[in-house]
Amino acid sequence: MSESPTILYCHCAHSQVVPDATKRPVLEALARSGKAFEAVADLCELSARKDPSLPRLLGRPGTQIIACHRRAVSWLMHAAGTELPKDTVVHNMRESKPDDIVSKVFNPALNVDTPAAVGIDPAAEAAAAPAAPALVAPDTLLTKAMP
Amino acid sequence: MIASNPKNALALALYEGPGAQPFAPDQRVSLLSTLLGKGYRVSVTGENTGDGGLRGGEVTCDQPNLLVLGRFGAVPEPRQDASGIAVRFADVDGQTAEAVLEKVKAVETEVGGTAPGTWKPWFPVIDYDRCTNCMQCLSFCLFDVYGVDKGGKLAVSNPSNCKTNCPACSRVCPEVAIVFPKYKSGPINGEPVNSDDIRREHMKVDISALLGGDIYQALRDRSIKAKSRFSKERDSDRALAERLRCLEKLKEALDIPDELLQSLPDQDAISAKKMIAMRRAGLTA
Repeated sequence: MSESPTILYCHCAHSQVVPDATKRPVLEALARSGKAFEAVADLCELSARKDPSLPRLLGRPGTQIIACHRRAVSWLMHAAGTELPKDTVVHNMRESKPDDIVSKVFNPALNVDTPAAVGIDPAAEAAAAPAAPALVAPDTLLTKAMP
Repeated sequence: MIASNPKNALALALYEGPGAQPFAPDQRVSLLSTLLGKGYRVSVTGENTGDGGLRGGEVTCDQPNLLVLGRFGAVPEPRQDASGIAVRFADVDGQTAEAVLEKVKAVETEVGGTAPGTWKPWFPVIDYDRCTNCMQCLSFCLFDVYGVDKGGKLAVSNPSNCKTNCPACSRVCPEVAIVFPKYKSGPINGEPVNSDDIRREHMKVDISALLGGDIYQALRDRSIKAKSRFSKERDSDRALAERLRCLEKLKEALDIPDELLQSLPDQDAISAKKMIAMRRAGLTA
């Protein structure tokens, strides 16, 4: 299982409060980067449904959430029964410029509250992170299926 | 709380690991925009560059059904993963985002999944760092959104009862502790609370105190006085116009929907609601 930090992008699909002029360029930059990330239509929905994947998504050290105000994200997670780790970086698409968000996502050292900056050892944290409830490895499955 | 339907939930993955070609960046952008816009959730595996920094083919899945979208050429057979997840594959090479969306919908129908979007995106969350458990929101809300938990702490018990675009409870909260993440402005939308916000909320409390500590009683007294005055003047049309004007001002000032204003409770009803909530939680009011 990879321990790559998770990038969690919220599209805020059910509201106009996050400007299109911000979320579109951010999504496009993520998609064009070729990097792995999780994209959800609406983080509020995951909270409302108490989505079981939230502990896993937030459990990896160095997780970055691209959504809205940190206070909103934090208490949404609390409402879902999951605490937002202190070292989780929340990028605010309601206030920040898309270029700023993208550069910080891809250069975590620019985030003042990254694990490294707050003295957390990502390797030690990774060992303590909760295991994913299920890990599907399509490559293995494909290998089995392909000649 | 809004119920999930984990039995039928479908997870999607844009797969670019071994056995599949990477997506063209434009197609990746287009697929993501379309699927997210329709309420789907997508895991992007990233290109399998083998640099160790990318997952290159892993998909962590918490749902019982997984649809893997990729440029496969030969589409692998559906199978059951060791963890019990039903994995299906779809080749989307050269297809438009709309065509892929139709494919996703077809699989969703096949597995009996719930279409995304079947939830209410408007509900409050409590900032427990600020909440003092004063229960003003519980007393104020007409729709029983709030209750108390087993420990007597304020809780959002019925979020789906919340009236879309109504932030009225957050306006009566003296501690700026109620967040509506989709509200247009701060601090209700979760912006950090500043000293001006706190001062404004305390002013509200002071005004309430000036009115005798019971704003509803003050409104009723005002209504009785007005009735008395109007009965002398005997101009019901003017009275109605005045009432509508006041309601309109109140509605604009507090951003409150019409239906809420039309059913304001009296003090007895508010007290009764608080007692009911306490009893529901097994506490003595």
